[in-house]
Amino acid sequence: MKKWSTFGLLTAGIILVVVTIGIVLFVSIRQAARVKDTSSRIDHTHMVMRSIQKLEHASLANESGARGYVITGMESYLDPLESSEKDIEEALPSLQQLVRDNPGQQQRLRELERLLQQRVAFSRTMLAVRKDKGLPAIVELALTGQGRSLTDSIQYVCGQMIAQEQALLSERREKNNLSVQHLNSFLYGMLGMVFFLSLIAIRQLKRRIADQEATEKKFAALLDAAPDATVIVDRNGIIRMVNQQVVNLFGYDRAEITGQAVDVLVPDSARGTHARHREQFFHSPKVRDMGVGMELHAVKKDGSLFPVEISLSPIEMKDGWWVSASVRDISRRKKLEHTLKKANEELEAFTYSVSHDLRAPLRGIIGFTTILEEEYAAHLDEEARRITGIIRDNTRKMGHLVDDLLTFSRTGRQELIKVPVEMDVLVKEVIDEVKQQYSKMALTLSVEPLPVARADKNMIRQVWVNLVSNAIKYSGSKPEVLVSVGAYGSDDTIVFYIRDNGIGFDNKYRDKLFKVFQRLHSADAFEGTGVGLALVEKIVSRHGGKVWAEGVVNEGACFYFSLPA
Amino acid sequence: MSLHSVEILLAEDSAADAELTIRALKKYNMANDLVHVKDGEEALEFLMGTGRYLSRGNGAALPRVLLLDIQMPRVSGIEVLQEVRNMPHTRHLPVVMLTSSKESPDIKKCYDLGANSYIVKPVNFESFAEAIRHLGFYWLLLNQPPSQP
Repeated sequence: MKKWSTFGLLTAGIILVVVTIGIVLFVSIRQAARVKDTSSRIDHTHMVMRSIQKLEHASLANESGARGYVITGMESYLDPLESSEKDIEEALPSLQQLVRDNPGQQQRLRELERLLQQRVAFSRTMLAVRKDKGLPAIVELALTGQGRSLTDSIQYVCGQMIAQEQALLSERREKNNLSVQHLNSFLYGMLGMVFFLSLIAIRQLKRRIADQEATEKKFAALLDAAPDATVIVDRNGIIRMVNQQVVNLFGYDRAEITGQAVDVLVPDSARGTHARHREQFFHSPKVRDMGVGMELHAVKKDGSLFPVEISLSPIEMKDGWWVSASVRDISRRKKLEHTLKKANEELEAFTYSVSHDLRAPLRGIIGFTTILEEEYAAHLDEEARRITGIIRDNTRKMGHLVDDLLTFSRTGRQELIKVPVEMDVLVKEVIDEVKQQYSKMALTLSVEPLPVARADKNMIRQVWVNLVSNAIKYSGSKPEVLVSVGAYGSDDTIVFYIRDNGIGFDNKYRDKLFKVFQRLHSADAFEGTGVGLALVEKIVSRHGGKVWAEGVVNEGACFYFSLPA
Repeated sequence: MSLHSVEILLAEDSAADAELTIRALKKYNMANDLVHVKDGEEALEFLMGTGRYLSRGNGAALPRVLLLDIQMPRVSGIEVLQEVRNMPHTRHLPVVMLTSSKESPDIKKCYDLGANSYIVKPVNFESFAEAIRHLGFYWLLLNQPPSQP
């Protein structure tokens, strides 16, 4: 069955009622007209009948007038005779007029007319015979039976005509009754149908209302099931609906808060901007978070403020847009963030003091060892100078270690500032800088064209410094060092690589390469702290990229890192 | 206290760092007119002619440069710097901040407060001595100090 809207159903019902009333009215008017017509027909029939009776009566008067005169010879009998002739003369045309639409009656009327004329003529003949020949001649004439048969014929035709009219009348009555009966059944049928349709419509409406109530209940249940406090507000900032979580969070009763201005939940300081932002939201309603980048607070019934996160979704209602605001209490998260921030600050302070306090004694050791070497050179023999050299060397390494560790720790915390970096230019700069430290080596460094990448320039520079230094450092044993830099990429990633022909590494150790303090070569063979590649890994992964490497022992290594394009 | 003009005022709480600094300066003959104070409080007393340096009197001649370690007990280098910049007669005194760590969160703050330079002391003595030599050379010979009030 087609689903009707409640509005459609109501409209259809009203139209049905109007149409029904129209039909009933039309039929009733027509019926009234027909009843009027029937009664005028009855009058007509009565008139016809009266006319016939008048003629019949006149014919009898004519006969009796003639007979009276014939028998008595008195002139007084001639008056009724003459008036009957006049009556016949008058009544015939009017009857003619009355039955003009009925051919059967017309025919009979013609017959009656003929008979009446014969009757009148016969009466006149009788009068003439009586005057001229006397009474005995009349007897002779009467004995012919002509007058008797004329009278009988006239009565017969009149009877026929009256019977015909009566039949017509009763037929009409019958027809009329039938049509009234039909009309009544039609009206009852109509009434029944309307009643039936009304029943259906009412049932539909009831079901519709029940459905709607069920939907509303379901919606309320859904609203209550939402994990966040949800406040539904109309365009004027009036709270139309809230869920149980609002009651729990804000401390208002449902009935108490519904219908209030949403401002009661907004801190005083934010009310002005809130109204403005609400207007903007309804201007282009779409799902979004409220006050991105702003610290939002809400007010409880007891007046206390708490930090919140609010996301907004527009809802189209029959009277325009409403907004559903999901309010999340982020007090706990804020507290955790605060704790984390404090922990980070502590870590920073710790790093700072480690950096400071570890370096100061190292500077003392190196400084005074150097002074010993320089100012007491005369008192030191070869072995003593070798030992002071070792002291200085180790202290210097320790200094590097402290520096590298600090850099490593700082890199994890520093904020990334991504800008478009021209890798070509950057790599060439780095190579020029690093090359100076290895000026005694035969270096061939080639750089293929490199794309621009979005990265933190300082950090990505550190990546290149470490990779280029590594490539040269671990190729130191080769007579000629070949280092090449290149890139390839797809739509969403750019991969940079640096290849060398150095001592390489065994691929089975490649996972260890990027771990802090993991070294594949002894510190004596190749100087280093074991932090460089770990730093590279950390920087690249903070950029959302990956690092990996391939190596062949004594033939060289290739280091790759990817960056999101 | 001698009344002849002081070229360098070194405020440094670490005896070892102070000695290394002085030795490095001596090496290049620049430590002849150097006064070493061991904390911020003493540095301020020297500059203002108060407390232990009352005899210098207010308005005494200023050093050509103040080498100021940041990490010092009681009154830190930063507080000294702030005070120096606040006092009318020391406002233009060249101040070089010294620190052991580039991790310091204070670099920006020092420049905001009007430090003239900010040096991280290298661990390596050669580098350290070199840095100190540059420092002395620049501030004592090259730099033109503001005229005394």
